[in-house]
Amino acid sequence: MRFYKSVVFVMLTLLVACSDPGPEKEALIIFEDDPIEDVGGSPQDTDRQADTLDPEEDVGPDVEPDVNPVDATPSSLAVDGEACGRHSDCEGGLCLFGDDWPEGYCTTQNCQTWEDCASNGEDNRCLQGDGGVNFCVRMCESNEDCRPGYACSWIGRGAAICLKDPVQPIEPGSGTIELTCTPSSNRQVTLEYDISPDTVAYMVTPVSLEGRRISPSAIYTPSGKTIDMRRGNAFQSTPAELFGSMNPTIVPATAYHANQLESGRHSYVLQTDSREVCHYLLEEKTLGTRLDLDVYLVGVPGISAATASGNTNMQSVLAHFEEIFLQAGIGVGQVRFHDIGGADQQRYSVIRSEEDVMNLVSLSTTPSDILSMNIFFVQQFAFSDGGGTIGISMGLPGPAGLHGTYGSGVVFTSEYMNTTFREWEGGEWVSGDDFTGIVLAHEVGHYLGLFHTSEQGGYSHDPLLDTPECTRNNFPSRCPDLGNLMFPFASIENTVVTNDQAWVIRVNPLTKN
Amino acid sequence: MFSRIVRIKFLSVALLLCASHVAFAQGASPTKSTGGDKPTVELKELQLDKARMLLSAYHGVPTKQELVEAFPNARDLMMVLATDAETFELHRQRAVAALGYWPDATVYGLYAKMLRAPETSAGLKHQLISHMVRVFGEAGLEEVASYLKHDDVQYRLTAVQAIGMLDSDAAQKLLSVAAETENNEVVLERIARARQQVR
Repeated sequence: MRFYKSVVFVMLTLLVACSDPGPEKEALIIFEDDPIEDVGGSPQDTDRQADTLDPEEDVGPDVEPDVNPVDATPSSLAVDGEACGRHSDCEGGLCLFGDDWPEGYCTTQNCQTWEDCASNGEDNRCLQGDGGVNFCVRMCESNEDCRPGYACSWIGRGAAICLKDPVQPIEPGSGTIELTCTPSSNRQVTLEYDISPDTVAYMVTPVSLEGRRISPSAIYTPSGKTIDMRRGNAFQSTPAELFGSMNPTIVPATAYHANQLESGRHSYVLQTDSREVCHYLLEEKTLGTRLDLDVYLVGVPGISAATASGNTNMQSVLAHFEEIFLQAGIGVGQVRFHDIGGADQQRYSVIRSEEDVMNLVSLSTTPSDILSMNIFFVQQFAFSDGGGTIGISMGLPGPAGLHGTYGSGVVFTSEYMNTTFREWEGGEWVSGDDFTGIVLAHEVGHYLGLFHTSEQGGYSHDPLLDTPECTRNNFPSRCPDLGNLMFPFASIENTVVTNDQAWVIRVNPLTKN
Repeated sequence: MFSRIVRIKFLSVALLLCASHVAFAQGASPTKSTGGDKPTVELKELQLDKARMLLSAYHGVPTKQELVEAFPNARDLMMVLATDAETFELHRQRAVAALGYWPDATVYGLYAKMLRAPETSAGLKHQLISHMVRVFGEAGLEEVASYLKHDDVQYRLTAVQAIGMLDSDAAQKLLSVAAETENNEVVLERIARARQQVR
């Protein structure tokens, strides 16, 4: 459910609660008068206790007529926006339950301003909309400010509040991926998996189903080697740094890490405050030669799933994409076209926020062969913050075989299709279809594990040895990696794939024979 | 998100680019150029090519600092690229966005003119709607208000998103009026979301 529906839902729920003479209303009446001043201390005196609550202890409406919040010790109650199992857990007197409020959500209803909210130093304010009941919410500037399971979502006037994360990282048991889950201990998890002797490469993907951040530490091989993801292989923790709750990890990561591939029992150690971390394993017996595509069309003018296979522009884009990937020995395999229609097409034809991107790729469905690349053609990006982009990969690398999650694909603009233009003054005319094929190849390159060849003005580079590195003094116009597909600037001339880049592409489980 | 990270990295990239070309750029200001000054014209062409490259990143628009460190005449270069209909659409959109770093009457006039012009591409208009409100605040509402009634639902959604980001009673009034006549469920959802506020 989209987050705005959540808000509308809770407002309606509160309205119903206030008019329904059931137990929920009784509870609301009991806790409505929560004279914080009468408690004898300010909300700032209240200790946060949410972390110690057991949500299994007592869920659902709880009237508790014998409990008077006025008599309760302020320090024992959770402030607004924090987890709760019953109303009496909350300083504001109301615990919101249900699917839209993972692990409960303390709030204060009928507020007028932030001063009415139970805050204890947290930035809680009074949410007001058309109709419904005002209630207090936790403010945020980014997802990092929100509890696990919640995301920072914008509302009016440029403000943003923590509401249920509209997309879940994975639905356990919904696909054909076999998940193995391991409980954490002292905020650490050690995952174990076995690699067959005939495996040439594999992807192991740890994921917190609770949506909590994971921090990979190291993989220990059967012979006692350490794949250190905080030092030598630090680049392999990038997915978790970018996306939080999952970290697709390919071994060996590059041709120069070939000695890190071993058969037998491995241990993957990571830190997290998740109660458990699950993982799945994809082993490759041979290097890939083809890439299947599931192409989602999101309001692209003149092209639908029914017509795409015969559309000249679409075929030109895919042909140029394949021409680039054939440098890596990868051809395009099966291509399946899908329409994103109805209200979702209206919502996401123009991508206006990163939240839109996550919601859109979550619409991907699981194909019969799960090892397929999801690509989304949208009309264009128009981020309201003014930041411009022409494509986004939701993985570096992305979680192969997972569909219907926020990490399930790449999104890029189709606005240059069926156009011609000159990139430079007096330059040659360029096909917009070819340019679009390059943007697609660049984003798919990210999703398969390729970094930009040079970043940060020459300060950092990809982990590959045969990609030229640009120095600070040469960046960007005299860069030796100008012309590479993964150079950070888009140009019709940037299409080269090196042998080491080809190797990264071919060991990814999404490329197959 | 990946794009956010890359944008941060891109800042550093561009900073270095700028630092390495400051000396080159100095003395090439268009204010010093004359009609018969061929070397100056060539220098400006070189500057424009470098500006085009800066504007072609996959994942972001260069910051004002990056641009002015690269080119003392950065605003003029952006204006040239933004107003030249022959400029590659990607570079033009980025140049138009970058002009928002200099929010004066000239830039306002350019934005307004482009928003009204039927020949302006849909891609650029969507971005202009956001820029107009983001850069000029309430002063930009007059130019984008008509997009709340546009036949194309995508323009209405972009206008709602842009106007909803503004902390302004006038903006909220516009959304309230739009909600009264809007029939599209998706637009109504977005309006309801944009009309929520915290106090």
